[in-house]
Amino acid sequence: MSGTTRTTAHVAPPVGTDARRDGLGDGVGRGPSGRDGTDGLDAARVSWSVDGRLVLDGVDCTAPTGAVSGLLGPNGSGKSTLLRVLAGVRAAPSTAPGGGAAQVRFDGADLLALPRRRRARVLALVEQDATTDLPLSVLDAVLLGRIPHRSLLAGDSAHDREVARAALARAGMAAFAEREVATLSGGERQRVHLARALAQEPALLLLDEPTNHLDIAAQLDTMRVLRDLADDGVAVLAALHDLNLAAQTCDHVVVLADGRVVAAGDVHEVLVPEVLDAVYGVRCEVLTHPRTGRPVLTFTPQD
Amino acid sequence: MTTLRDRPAPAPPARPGGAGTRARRGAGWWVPAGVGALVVTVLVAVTIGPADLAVGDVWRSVATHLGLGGLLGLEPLGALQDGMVWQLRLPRVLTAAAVGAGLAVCGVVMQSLTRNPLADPYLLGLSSGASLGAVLVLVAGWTVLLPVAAFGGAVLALVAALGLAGALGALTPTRTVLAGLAVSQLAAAATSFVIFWSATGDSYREILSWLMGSVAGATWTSVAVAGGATIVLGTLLASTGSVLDAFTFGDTAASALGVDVARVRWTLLVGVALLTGALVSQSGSIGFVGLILPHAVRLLTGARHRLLLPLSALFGATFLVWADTLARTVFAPRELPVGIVTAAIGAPVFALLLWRGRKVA
Repeated sequence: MSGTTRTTAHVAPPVGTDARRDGLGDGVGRGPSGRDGTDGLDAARVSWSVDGRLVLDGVDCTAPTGAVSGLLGPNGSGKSTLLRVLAGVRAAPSTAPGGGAAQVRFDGADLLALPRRRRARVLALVEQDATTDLPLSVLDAVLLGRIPHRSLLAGDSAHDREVARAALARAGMAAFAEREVATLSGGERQRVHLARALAQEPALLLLDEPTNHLDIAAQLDTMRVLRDLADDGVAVLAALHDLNLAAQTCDHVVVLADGRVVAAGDVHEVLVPEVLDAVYGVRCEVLTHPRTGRPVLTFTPQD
Repeated sequence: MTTLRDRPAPAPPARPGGAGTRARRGAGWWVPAGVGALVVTVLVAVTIGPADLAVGDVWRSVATHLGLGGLLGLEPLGALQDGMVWQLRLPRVLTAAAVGAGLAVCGVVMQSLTRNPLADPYLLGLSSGASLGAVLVLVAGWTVLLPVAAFGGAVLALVAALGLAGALGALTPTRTVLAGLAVSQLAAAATSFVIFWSATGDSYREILSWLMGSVAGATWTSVAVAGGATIVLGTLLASTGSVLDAFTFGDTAASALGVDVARVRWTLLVGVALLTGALVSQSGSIGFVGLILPHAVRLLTGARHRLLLPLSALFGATFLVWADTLARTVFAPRELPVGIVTAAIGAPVFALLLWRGRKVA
């Protein structure tokens, strides 16, 4: 932000471990390992069904701390459901037929076994298209993210407002603090939801299509915010529609199709024709970006 | 995560110094102003009425009963006049205030929990259910059970309305109100039938006072029941502001903020039914207070519940005292049921809300 954001600029040193300490508090089950392979989200054998239909079928999914992970897949492949199950807002995952027990761990701790409020201090979920008709200011909407951090009888503290304004600034929405949520465009509202999630000070951030409704500059801006968060020690897992955006901005991707993981790993290994042609039913060619060296995907119909 | 790096922002920076939002600016004055308005309303409303009582005499009576007579060196009022003030007018005004406050809080809680701008105890059938319960025990002669039966009626009506709406599909505002209407009409018809069946005196008047609501017969017992319920349950409900805030963006968002959605929803709705039952047992079913007051207050203060709940209570109390004052004075010596006055004000507002919400309905 520019120099005038003095209400927020002094808030805290940009140290990633800070967010993580706020997150799991007294280190609920976090191993002494520090940043080894077990850091971050590690979900295994997650299944979920509704009306007898298996929406998720034994999904394994990781989102390492310090990385931006992308969750990819066609419409209806189970991306949103997976995020909600991981966030604990859907009923607990069922055990896959023939598989072991499902587990969702974060830094080694069983995430779904945490009390709700505690969990809401560890992880935040940014939904798609959540809206309200109520006359609510942007700042008040972001302050909702402080609810898990304070007693239910208390009002907003000065610290809460500080954190909320910092979150707004980080989402590029500082100038909108006094506006009413109902008057915002879809893209602006999406950023308010991002700011609300940031105000939760999560160690794990789950996002469902955070770049929906955004123009390309705003999409890149949002992804840069996610990158900054990852650099500060947050584990970021975002469901994304745009494969090229994922190719340019994610460290690690998971591809879902029909509720199963088709491929997972580094973008160079996963975003390849052998995977994408079958999943999306298209013909895909991979070029290399001349400057970033990352994959650039082009698509043509299959014959 | 509280970190913030200097990086270029696409938009101009926020106003420095943490200036409050519209909702927060001057927020500290709303509650004292609401309390002041209510106190003045009560003091003025008791002086208004058909009997020829001077303003000073009315206050003299009240002050004497409050034990301030000796302190202020006042002469006690004559027994007849004193009785008119202390046994008739004041209980009536205070009951109206308690009922108005309680109904407004019920409206806020129901609207937030169901994310339905049209939710209120009257439109969803709780009030009619409570009336039916109350009338049944009155006819049976079990007067002691009055509030309990009214509560039972309110809960049954709530479950029936939400169950019926839920069986039809998603709980959209319009569908919920239609289901509430069905429940409400059935309960009102049953109430009328029971009163006719057991008719001992002026059944028309009695039916009207249950279906349209009235505080004409209010006594100090009414004040105790309605006031006690509003103070105890209203305070409990009003203390859940943060939880209700969490529902602003829907159930999933509330859950992601650490709220146990199902448990909170049912606990608070049962609290609403309890309070509605207690109020209706004293006043019959008065419509539209729970619907319009929360919307009016949101326009003033925004949607955060910490301010919305207490202010809705204060303004609801003030509103109903004036509505009742109109009901007993406009066509004096005839009296209107107070529900006619609230409907005359509330129905146009209801139509406006329907019009505004036509996209979401």
